[in-house]
Amino acid sequence: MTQRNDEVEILLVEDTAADAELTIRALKKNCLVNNLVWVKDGAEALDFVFATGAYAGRDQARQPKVVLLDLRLPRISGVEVLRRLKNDDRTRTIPVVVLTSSKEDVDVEECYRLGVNSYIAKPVSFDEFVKVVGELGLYWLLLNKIPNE
Amino acid sequence: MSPPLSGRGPARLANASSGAFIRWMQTGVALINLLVFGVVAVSLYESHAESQQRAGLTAQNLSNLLAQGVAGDIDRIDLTLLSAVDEVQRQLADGAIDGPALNAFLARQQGRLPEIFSLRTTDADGIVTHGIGVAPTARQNNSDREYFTRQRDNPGTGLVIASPVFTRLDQRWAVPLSRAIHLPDGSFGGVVYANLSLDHLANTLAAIDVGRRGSVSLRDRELRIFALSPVPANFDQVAGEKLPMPELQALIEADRHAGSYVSARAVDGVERKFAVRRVAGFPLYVVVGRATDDYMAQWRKLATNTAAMVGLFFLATLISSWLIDRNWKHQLAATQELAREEEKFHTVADYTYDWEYWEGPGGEILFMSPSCDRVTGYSPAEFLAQPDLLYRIIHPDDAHLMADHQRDIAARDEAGVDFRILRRDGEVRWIGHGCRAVFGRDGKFMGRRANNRDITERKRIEHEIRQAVAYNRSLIEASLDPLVTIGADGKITDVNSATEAVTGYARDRLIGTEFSDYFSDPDKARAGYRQVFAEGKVRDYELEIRHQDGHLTQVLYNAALYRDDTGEAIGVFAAARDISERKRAEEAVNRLNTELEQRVARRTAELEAANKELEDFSYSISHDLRTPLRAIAGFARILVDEHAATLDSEGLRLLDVVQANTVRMGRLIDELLEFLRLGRRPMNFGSVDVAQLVLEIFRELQASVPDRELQLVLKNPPPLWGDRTMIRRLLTNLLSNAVKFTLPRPLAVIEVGGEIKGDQVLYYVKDNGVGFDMQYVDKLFQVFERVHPVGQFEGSGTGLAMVRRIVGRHGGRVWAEGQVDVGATISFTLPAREVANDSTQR
Repeated sequence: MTQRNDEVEILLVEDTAADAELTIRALKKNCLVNNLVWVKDGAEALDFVFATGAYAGRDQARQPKVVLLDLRLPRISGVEVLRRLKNDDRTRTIPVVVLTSSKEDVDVEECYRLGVNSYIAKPVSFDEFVKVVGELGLYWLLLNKIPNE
Repeated sequence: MSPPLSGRGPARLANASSGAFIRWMQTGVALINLLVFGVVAVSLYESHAESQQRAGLTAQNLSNLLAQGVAGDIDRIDLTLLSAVDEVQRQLADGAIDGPALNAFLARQQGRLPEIFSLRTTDADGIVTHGIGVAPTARQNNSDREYFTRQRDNPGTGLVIASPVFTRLDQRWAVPLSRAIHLPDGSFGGVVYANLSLDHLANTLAAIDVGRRGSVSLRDRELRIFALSPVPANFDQVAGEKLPMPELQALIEADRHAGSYVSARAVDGVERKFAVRRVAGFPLYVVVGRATDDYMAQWRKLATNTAAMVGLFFLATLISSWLIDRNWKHQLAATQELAREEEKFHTVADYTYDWEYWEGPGGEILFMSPSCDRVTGYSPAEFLAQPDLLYRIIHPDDAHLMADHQRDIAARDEAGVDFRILRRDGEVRWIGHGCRAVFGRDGKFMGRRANNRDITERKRIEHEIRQAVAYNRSLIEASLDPLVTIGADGKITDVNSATEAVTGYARDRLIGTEFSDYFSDPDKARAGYRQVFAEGKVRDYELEIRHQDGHLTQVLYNAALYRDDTGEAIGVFAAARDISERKRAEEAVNRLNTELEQRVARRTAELEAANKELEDFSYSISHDLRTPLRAIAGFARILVDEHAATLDSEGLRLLDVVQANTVRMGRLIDELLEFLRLGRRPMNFGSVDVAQLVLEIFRELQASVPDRELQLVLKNPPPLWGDRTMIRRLLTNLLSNAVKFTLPRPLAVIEVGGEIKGDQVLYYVKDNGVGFDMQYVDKLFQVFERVHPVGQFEGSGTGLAMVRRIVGRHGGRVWAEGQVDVGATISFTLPAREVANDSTQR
């Protein structure tokens, strides 16, 4: 993706290309894909947020308006990413929506304990998926105001 | 027991009669004394009167006798005087007095009469002329004398008895008697007089015994005393004197010839009874006085004697009645004492609780206590009548005991034996018999005194105690632990066979020896023993018992004080546990445990791994299976959406099939996840109102199939105790199954009921659906197993598997019954627990 991304609105953390494509398509169908950054694992996601590694030099002041986070990720898991984001004062206010196919209670409880803002089980049906993604995008991108903005 | 009738009467009788007897006796004595007094008084009175009368009579007779004697004397003297007068007058007539002849004559005459001491004559002048001792020359003039003057002054007087005088010539007291001498011319010529000797009169009177204080007197009409007997010392003064005696005077004046009176007016003042008799033909009176004291002396003596006798009699009766009274009282007291003693004896003998008797030397029953009735059912009278009854009632099996006892008592004074008897009612009683020989004061054998006590209860208790002891002994012996009891002195008092085994010594050898000798550390053993006394017990006190052969056994001692029934500690009861075996076992156990733990740890690890795998598996199912599925569904959708124009209708139908199967697979994955979750989910128990829950689920199901006609029949399913979420899942599955398999029925009838069966609650859900073939019933509850082809009825095949898992987690059981085209019934039970209590809350 591009180094210069001043208006990043959505950070999609998803290792599965098919899911990522379906998510992006669903966002598109809801006209919500402006300035979307797709990272493929947790490490990359953290690098992006904290402007380290490949994203060193990124302006940290400009954070995404929402992070769509898959839990099953290579290297650093989604739960770990969530913990790091919510434990850091710089990133604590970024809304994180967990998008996962897992309905395991352990994940749900852990995520809510860590301070997840939303938890979405991705439906198998694409129609329903589009609908769910549209609703959450609308809420977090258009309606929800982040305190420091 | 009826009180004996004997031994009560005499005391009461004695009490009642004693007073009466004493009163009767006193009255009798008084009456006898009164009678005696009366008789004696009458008799004394009579004898007194008789004495009086006799005294009077005697006085009369004596006076009579004296009067006659005096009269005879006087008559004789008068005759002499007359003859003397005649002689004088004849001589005068013859001319003159022949002096000597006359003197001789007079002397002759005087000599014939000893009672006179002189017979003399006087002349007319009173000069004594003739007679013995007369000297004519002396010219003794006696003209002053009464015998002369009265003759001279009263011619024709006759005999004059003059008052006594003391004669001048003879110088003696005399009563002169005189007759006048008449001269031939008839004139007075003097007197002839004779001096009657007063001594003679006195002698005459004295000849009469008138008693010691009696008196006899001779008096003339003028009461002059002529003679007195006894002669008083002052006779000279009283002779011829007039002694006043009014009674006599009155008598004389009355001209009575005889009479009597009593007077004390005599010279000496002594009271006398006087009898008076006139001397016949002369003016003289004989007065005989008998002193009352004299004539009554005899009576008085008699009276005194009688009185003394009466007094003695009175005294005698008094003393005897006192003696009788005292004696009677003594006897009464003795009788009462005897009665009391008898009553005491009867009380002692009759009220014995035990059965007591006295068998005489000949085997006869001399006493039988009433309590024999209580013990034997036979009355005392029956025993008394049949002495052999005592032996007849002895239990036949115990006859030899009595025979032994009989031999026993032949040799000893005291002996006892326990034996059984058969009561009259046939009941068997145990008797504790004891007897001893009875000897009289003289040492004579008087039979045997026996005491029979009913010891049936004691025997029963003894039997129970023996049984208990045997039971306890068997318990003690049954113990594999060495048990020992130790006395307060530290000596062994009892052991069981386990102790024998562990020490190698026989019981007899152990008992009485010091317990600490059998341990490797006797001091520690004694310390443990002291600890028991100090604290009441010891727990798991480690010691080593040394066997006779020297080998040691490790033991743990548990010991406690044992006490007698007063709570006094009398020793220690100690139980040793052989821990050498246990230690070996412990080691084995420990080894096994270690192995087991290792195995468990291994298995746990395996299980954990399996669980982890399962978790991973379910996670991967949910995650990894769904992700491609979602991709298939998503891209199939995108294909339809974006490339429909390039696909023909067959292509579109195939895409539809793909999409339909992705949906179905998604549901399968969801259901499988849920099924897996059921196994791990924590339970949250509570009361569940089954009927209410069924109703809710039924409404939801009806709402999901609004075009179908469903009917719910609720038959009072009781509430249950369980996890509400799980139960809801369970009921939902069952009801939705029922709804599903009744699809061909125009009216689906679903019946839900239940009942409490003991500690289980049974529920069932019954439908009138297509049912199933019972040969596939085993497959019904397995995951993903279906008895109907896919497509005929919706479903993944996890519904009943889930039901079975939920019921299983609640500790219940589930089963199914069905018949093709008739319907199916799924039944399950759950433990009742608190559900029964909540059944009223429906």
